[in-house]
Amino acid sequence: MAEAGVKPRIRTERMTLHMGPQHPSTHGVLRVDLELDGEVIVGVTPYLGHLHRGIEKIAENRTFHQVLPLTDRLDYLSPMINNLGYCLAVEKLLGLEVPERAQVIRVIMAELTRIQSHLVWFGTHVLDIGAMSPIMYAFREREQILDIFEMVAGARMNPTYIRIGGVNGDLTSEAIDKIWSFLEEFPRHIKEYEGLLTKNQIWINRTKGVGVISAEEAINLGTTGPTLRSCGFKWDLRKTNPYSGYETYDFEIPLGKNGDVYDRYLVRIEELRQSVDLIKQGLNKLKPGPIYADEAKVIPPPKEKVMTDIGALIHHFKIMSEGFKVPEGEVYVAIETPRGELGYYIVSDGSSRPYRVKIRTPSFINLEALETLAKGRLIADIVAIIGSIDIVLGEVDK
Amino acid sequence: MNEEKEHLVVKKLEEAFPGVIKKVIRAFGETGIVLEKEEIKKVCQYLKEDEELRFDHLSDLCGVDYLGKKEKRFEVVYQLYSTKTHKRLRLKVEVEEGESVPTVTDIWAGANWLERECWEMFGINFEGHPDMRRLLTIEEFGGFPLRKDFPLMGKAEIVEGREGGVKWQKRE
Repeated sequence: MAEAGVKPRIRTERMTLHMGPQHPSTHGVLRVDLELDGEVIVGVTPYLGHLHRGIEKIAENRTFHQVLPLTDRLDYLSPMINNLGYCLAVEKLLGLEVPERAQVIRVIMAELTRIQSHLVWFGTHVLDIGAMSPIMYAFREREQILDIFEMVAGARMNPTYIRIGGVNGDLTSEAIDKIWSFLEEFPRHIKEYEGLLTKNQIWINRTKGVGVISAEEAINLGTTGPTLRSCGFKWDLRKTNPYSGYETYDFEIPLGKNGDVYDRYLVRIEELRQSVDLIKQGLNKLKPGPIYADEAKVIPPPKEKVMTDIGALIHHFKIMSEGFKVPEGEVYVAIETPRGELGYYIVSDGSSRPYRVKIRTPSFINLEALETLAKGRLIADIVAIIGSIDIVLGEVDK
Repeated sequence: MNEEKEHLVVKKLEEAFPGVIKKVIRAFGETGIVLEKEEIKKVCQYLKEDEELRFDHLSDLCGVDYLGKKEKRFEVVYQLYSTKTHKRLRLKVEVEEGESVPTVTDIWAGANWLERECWEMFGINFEGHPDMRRLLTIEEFGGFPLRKDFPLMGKAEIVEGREGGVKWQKRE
């Protein structure tokens, strides 16, 4: 009993709460140990690796061409961009020039992927916080993009469409029409999403001022992508270190101000609009031309020729089984994915297999900021915070 | 322009720490600098804080196993990025098996997980790291999977109890 004059206090104890690995808001299998003082989070310890497949180890034992399908499986929500990063790195080692049409198609596909990935983020993030309907809207539009992927690449989820030296198959006129009709409709849908949330009081209460990080802290932690730009730090690799001809496109980098969950939401929604613009510019730039670099050593012959011509068959067989030799050396190539900087550090010893492939995946590094973001917040906020960094566990665990 | 800036890094480093650079590798338009591993911390601190260079972003940190190819078995590679000049720089230190490298976690907080990953994959120890535990593999895992002499395939069997570790049995 409390003594006279002293206010009786509620006894609180520190408690450890395991969140995950099977938790709907972790979007995969992530375990987080939360140290709680009442409802307040005082410590966050993520445990990774539930999805570790050893992609870097497998890559060392395959030819350069065979590594490509593995990259789809890193960030399975933006497979084309993962392909692109790897291809750019190998092309740099080989000194390959990719023809212009292929470069434009790559940008179009990368931006479609960005929209598609942001839509998944949007739907699931909002669902985590408690709004049921936006995910239905988001997946309705995502389906259209996946249909375009199927038309162009033959697969919806892991297309492996961007290849070393070019892209696998040209854009048909039907596909181009489909992309145009999608682009005409999509800005209206962005308005729909915003109408549901941007001025929604519940949404604002749940997200504004939650999970704040300063630009300085974010840089120190290595954070990149929308998570960093939400603090008002202007850095997008498409602008600062352009690749695949991004320097010839006209687009803005959306910035936030406060570095909280709400600003990250605004930044990504605005990125959707910028991506629409980029794709339109890309489609207008599209001129007839080759879609593969002119380098018979690296590029397999077209399938029709393989079926009819013995020379082409042998050529195809040689590239697929033995692979092609890549000059000795090392490169680090980084590109901007929907989540941040994706870097491929490839060491080649002159053989047809990479000596070492190190993949710098954005989600992995961004997740490191979780502790900074969540400390001192309420337990209900952790779900909003994890959703706002937009992690993909395939990429975190490699 | 590019070339000039890279010269600038080498020049400034030579001035600030004479003799620290063991080798400069320039290839594919990228610059790599090989350093003595004892010097890595102060060089990183300098590169991060120098007003002109400002390599304030550690993009990546990883190990490479050069088993039988180089004099010292491992290399730890640091990929730096400057958010001011938008240039990249690669630093490398050579490490022999069993040796450790000074940690850079007090310079970049983001190095924490990267160093943990590097240790669990290669067994390169980082001296002064605040929280060295396995990150992507299970706690009981034995061995360092990205080493070149670690088998690609094989059966792992977890011996009961936490102290037991993992027994490796090669597939027939």
